[in-house]
Amino acid sequence: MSENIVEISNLTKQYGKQKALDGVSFSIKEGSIVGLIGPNGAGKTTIMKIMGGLAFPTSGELKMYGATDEKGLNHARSRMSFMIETPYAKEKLSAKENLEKQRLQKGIPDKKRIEEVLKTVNLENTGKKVVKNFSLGMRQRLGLANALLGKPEFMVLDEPINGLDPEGIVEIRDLFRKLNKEENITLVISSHILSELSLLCTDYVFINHGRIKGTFTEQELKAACSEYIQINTDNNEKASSLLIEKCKIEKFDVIKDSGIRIYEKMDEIRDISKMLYENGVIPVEIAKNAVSLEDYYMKMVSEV
Amino acid sequence: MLNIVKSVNYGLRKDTGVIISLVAMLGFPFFIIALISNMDAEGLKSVTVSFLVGSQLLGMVYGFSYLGIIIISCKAMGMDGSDKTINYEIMSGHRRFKVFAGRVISGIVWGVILVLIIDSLPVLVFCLANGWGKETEPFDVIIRMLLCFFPMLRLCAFHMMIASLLGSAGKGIAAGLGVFTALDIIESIMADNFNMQTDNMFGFINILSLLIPQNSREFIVDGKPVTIFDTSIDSHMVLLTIGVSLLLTVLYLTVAFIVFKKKDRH
Repeated sequence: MSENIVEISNLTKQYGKQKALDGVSFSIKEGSIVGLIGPNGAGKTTIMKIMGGLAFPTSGELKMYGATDEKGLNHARSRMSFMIETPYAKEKLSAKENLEKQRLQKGIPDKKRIEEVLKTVNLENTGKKVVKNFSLGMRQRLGLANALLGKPEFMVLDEPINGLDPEGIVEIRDLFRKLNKEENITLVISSHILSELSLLCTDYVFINHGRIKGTFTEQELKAACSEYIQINTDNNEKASSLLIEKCKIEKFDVIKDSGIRIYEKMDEIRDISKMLYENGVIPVEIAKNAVSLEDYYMKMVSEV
Repeated sequence: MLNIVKSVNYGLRKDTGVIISLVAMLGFPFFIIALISNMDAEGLKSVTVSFLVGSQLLGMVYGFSYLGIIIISCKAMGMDGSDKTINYEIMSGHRRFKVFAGRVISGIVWGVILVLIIDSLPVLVFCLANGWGKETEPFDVIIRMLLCFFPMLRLCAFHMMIASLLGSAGKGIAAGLGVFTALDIIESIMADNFNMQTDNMFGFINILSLLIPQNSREFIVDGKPVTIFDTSIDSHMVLLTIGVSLLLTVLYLTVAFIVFKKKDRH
């Protein structure tokens, strides 16, 4: 059974009067790919910065690889790599020179590792071109190369596919899968491209306004993003009351301008329709749909 | 920490501003001497070390290196602040103390020791070519040159502090030059209006005080007038130079580190 390599307990980060994180708790299992999902300003980057040692929590505890003290956390970080916000790059140096500087500070003895990672991210032919002249996608790839340089056991990546073309996104997704499957590298990825995360992640953490909205495994999220019956009637308010009274249906949402979504009794669509009609409510629309990850995300992050 | 030093050294080697500063410091003294001697071979033959001291050229050479020290110190401490290199070092597991101290070491090696060596080259070259000269005492002059290490160290530490607090080499250089200019003006005002010599108080031109002889006397040697410069050193000068410089170096670096250690990085 995989052990937790990161445990975050009641983490709070306050900037003046504003709470960037408010009692955040979750854990990350070894070998998992965790999607950290939330809108801009939700607290995703703050969590990553605290994990990376760039920011200090106001209160709460961060445990990584069993360590909570500064020395232990620094040792844990030597086993990890981070790519937070804009990828690292010295503008006037080439890709190779940038990675050479990183190789020196990380104490990596093998110079050939630079060529290896550049090849992995498809930047091996940039030659002496300086980073100043790189596209956003190339800079992103360089940031990934830097993250791979030290052969980390755990990677924390903030929007790693930002700026990549569709081909690049597929390449990097396959790379992450390969790293996770073949080398058991644990990954934490934040992204707004939820469709990509759903193809990759084994676990999800939803965050908004500095608070955790929910944590799910892949299976749990699939179940949550399940089918529903979409009904629109000429009197949705009366329809809602009838659903509770007549059909004993409690798991439903009334969506403004969209109608009613029913999450149970999926096989009784005909009976529901008949009941409504018999009670003077005309169903205008009735169909079976599925909750997309985007819809579920919007629901999760909009909850107070 | 050694890895940080290696990485910073690599960056400094690749930095155009640093290379230009070093080349300028290397070329400046020889350029000035060539100008003074009108590029004349006979003129150049008369340039001894004593001539460099007595004509205040040596002081000028060391004084010119102020700019180089400012640039290199700020680059060593600040050039990795604005592009997140320092962030990646912290995220690689290096303690903040090592990240800071590694930069201080690089700054001192490049901005003080290397500069001292470069500044000493004219002395070496002209000593080998034309000899020391009778006008100054070699031991005294060499001690004074070595003592320059301490005010240079203080200057380097001050600018590393500014670059660290501002988080950028460019801002550090601009602020450093601004402070230097302001202090120069204050010193002139104090001297002109209040008849107060504040060189040692502010310390930036402590180097000039060390290398420009304050006293001289004329003697007749072999029927020719010879000016002998008083380059003697007293213990008060030595203690003040070393003590004040070390104290302020420690103060500047401590202030910079306290802020660096506690500050959230963006």
